[in-house]
Amino acid sequence: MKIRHIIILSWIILVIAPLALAWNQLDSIAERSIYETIADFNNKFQTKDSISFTFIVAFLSTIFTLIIGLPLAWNLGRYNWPYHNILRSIFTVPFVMPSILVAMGFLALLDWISFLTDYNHSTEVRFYFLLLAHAWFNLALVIRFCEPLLSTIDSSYEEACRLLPSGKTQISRFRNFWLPLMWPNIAASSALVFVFSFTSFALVKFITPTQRNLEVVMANQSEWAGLSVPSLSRTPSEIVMASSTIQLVTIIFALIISSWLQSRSSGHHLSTLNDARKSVSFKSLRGLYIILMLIFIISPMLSLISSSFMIRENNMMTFSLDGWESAFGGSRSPTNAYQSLKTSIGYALMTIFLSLPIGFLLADTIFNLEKTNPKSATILDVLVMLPLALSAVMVGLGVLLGLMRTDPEIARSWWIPLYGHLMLTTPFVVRVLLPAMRNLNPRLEEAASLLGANYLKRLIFIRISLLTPSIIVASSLVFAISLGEFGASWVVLRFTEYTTLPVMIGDLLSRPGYDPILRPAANAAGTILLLITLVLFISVERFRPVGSGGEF
Amino acid sequence: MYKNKVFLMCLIVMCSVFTGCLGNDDSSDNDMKLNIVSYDAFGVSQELLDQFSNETGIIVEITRAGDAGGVLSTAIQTKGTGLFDMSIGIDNSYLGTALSADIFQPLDTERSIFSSRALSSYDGDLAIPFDVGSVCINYDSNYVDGENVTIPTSLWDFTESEWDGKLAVQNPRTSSPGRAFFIATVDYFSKDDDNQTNYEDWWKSMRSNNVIITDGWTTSYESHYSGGYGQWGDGFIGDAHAVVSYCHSPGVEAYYGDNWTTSVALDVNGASFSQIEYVSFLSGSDKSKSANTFVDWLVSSEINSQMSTINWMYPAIEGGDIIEDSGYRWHSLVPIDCDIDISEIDNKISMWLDEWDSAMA
Repeated sequence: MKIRHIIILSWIILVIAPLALAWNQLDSIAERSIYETIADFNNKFQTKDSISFTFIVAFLSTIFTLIIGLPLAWNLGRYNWPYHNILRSIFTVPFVMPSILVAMGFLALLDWISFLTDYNHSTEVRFYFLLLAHAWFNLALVIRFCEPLLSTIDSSYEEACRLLPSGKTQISRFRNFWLPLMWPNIAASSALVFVFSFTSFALVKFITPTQRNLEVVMANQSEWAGLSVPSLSRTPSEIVMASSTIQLVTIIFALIISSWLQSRSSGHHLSTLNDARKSVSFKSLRGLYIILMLIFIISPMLSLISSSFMIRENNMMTFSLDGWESAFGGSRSPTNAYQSLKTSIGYALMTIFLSLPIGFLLADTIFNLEKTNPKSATILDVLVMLPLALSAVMVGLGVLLGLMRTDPEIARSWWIPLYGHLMLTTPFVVRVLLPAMRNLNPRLEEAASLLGANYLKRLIFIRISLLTPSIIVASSLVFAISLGEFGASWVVLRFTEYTTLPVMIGDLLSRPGYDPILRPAANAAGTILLLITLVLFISVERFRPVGSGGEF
Repeated sequence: MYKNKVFLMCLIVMCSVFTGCLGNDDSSDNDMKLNIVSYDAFGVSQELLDQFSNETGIIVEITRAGDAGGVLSTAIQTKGTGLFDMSIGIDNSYLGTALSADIFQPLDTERSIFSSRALSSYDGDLAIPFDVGSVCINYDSNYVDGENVTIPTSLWDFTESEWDGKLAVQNPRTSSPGRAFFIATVDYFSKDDDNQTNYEDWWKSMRSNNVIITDGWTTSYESHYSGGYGQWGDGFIGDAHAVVSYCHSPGVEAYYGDNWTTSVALDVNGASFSQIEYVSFLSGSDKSKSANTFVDWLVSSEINSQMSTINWMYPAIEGGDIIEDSGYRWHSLVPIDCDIDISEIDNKISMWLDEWDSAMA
């Protein structure tokens, strides 16, 4: 068996096994069928309105993200701005921010708005803030999917369009030229935005705490679901089974659409290798728009940073460095920010080390299958993306059950948290490398093969050499996502010795905030994470050539 | 291209170096290391734990598992595996279930050192109390001024229009204080003068009166309650003028607020739950000596008497009390709590929670 097959098989086992274990356990406890449980959803407080809330939030968030994201992608794709790479990094960095930080940032922003407008916000306002936070978080998906294509379409095509009767006005050009060209990318990005808004956890939990989506419902039941005490775990097990079924079916459906559309998006031949962007300055109406968008992106980050310096003293907020001192001194948490950061970096580098080769081989297999067996390519693509659709609760339960059945001491192993990191990052490696592979000229490898180069030589001297910029971009993405990973680490047993920075933040936030230093310390740790991610993204952006990427 | 390759090489070298940051530190003797599962909010600092390690040579490794329910479910999941030696934070609302699940081993702790309140739910050797505190409704005295809005004297008062949408409680399935208060309501309405109504009727009336229900204490107290520290924090809504919290929460507010707070604990007989938190030695562990040493340290006069500032709860030992500094004790209330047996809770909690779920939908 080839190494490629072993890796693909291992991946499938890694994705499916915890799910199967968790499912089997839940099924042995549940008494009602999934249909009966779903039919009873609105008659129980724990699940009432959760299905409709999940779909409404996911649907509205997708629309909202497109409304904000498409004009931005257009302006970044068709125009060359001063400091373009930095701009592009700032607009796409929100996607790798830990969602717990985004929630904190938006809550801090909400507070500033309440303070400045003297308007005490209500639960309804929070709902709209949730949609805004989803748009902020997922903006990068729309930009990354649409901007590379826009930046390589030669303007001569649009000029030719102007001469035709159906392309005289801006609207008609959009309808007859840009939309047919762009819609597979728009639809594919929409499918992913929908998936991420559908499975959103921390943002819903913190921003709209009185409402529950399916992910929050499952997290709420996680304590008792699957436990071998049926009197306590029957209802939670039934709820988790029903919720995860709805979630899985919906998301697999969205991922199949996304995968199918992406394979169609490589079908046009209008892209040029040249940079098709026009230079433009900030001193214009368009520039004003970009600046406003920049403020929108930066303001939650600034709110978070400023909150780390504000402390409650004698019932008023004052400037203080105590939060930072506590974060670095570790006086309010089991580990300090240095130790947690070191652990986070260790895990992030290990994740790169594992997910890059796995992701490369998976992308390569999908790329080859697309030519010979497109249906299998779509199935493998969905399997690669599946971990993003799985609920952390199901994965956590499956991992715990799997470990308990094999050897409980393994649960204490330092590499267990890596599982979550690997599941979360490998899909993105594939998303970066697959379009880059599609863009490679196949004749180069054919020529090398004719000259006698074997597979390994072709891989090292042609494939990897040409893909190096994309590999670097993928590494930075893996590093950033792994650095900010929170959900999976939080659900699996949290041993102090492996406390990462996001887990340290979660730890500080989960304690009663009577102690005025706790929240600023969490914000300070969050600021460290934010700044590292931002610097990383800006420094790596230069490796991404104009028009490359195509997907992420 | 050359630069790119250098970058990749650097990455590989860094991977090898930094992964050295991870990995087990197996240098300590395994018998001298206690693996403890606790709830997230357990406040004993690393500094104190290090002090214990220096004095006894026993290293303590804490793993956080959410709230009291999370500790119990983790203990049941890992029963007999030896993954954890001890649990901290299972309270008397969960103790009946824990005892039925047979997850504990006996400890040698001297019981005479504890207050009668600490031993009121259980006085055996499988679960040793280390702190106590009552869960009750707190109200904002800015709203309940005694003139326009009078101080409630019965839980039924919260079903009146002046409390429409102004009480925040926690989901009893997902929050320990929420569960404790819910159990108190079951007992309160079974013993009140009115034989026609029970807890379900009250909760249904509360649903009609738009009670705010959150999944955790933090959200209801920090975001919704107008009388707490949340008013100075991010994401404050302040739409609730009463909240389920601890009867000594106003004391903690005063302690950090320079003896000033508008929050007051509501004194209604039987409408509060005396929460007792336990430390236990888990079955499957063979570190009995180390476990007993740790419990003796935790309930020692030196450590346990500090519980009001270490863990924001009353000490469990006889004569222990919360400190008087900055009005901490003055603003705290010791109410007459509900009286319900832990075995009754274990037998009926599942049914009560199912009924509550239906009543509140």
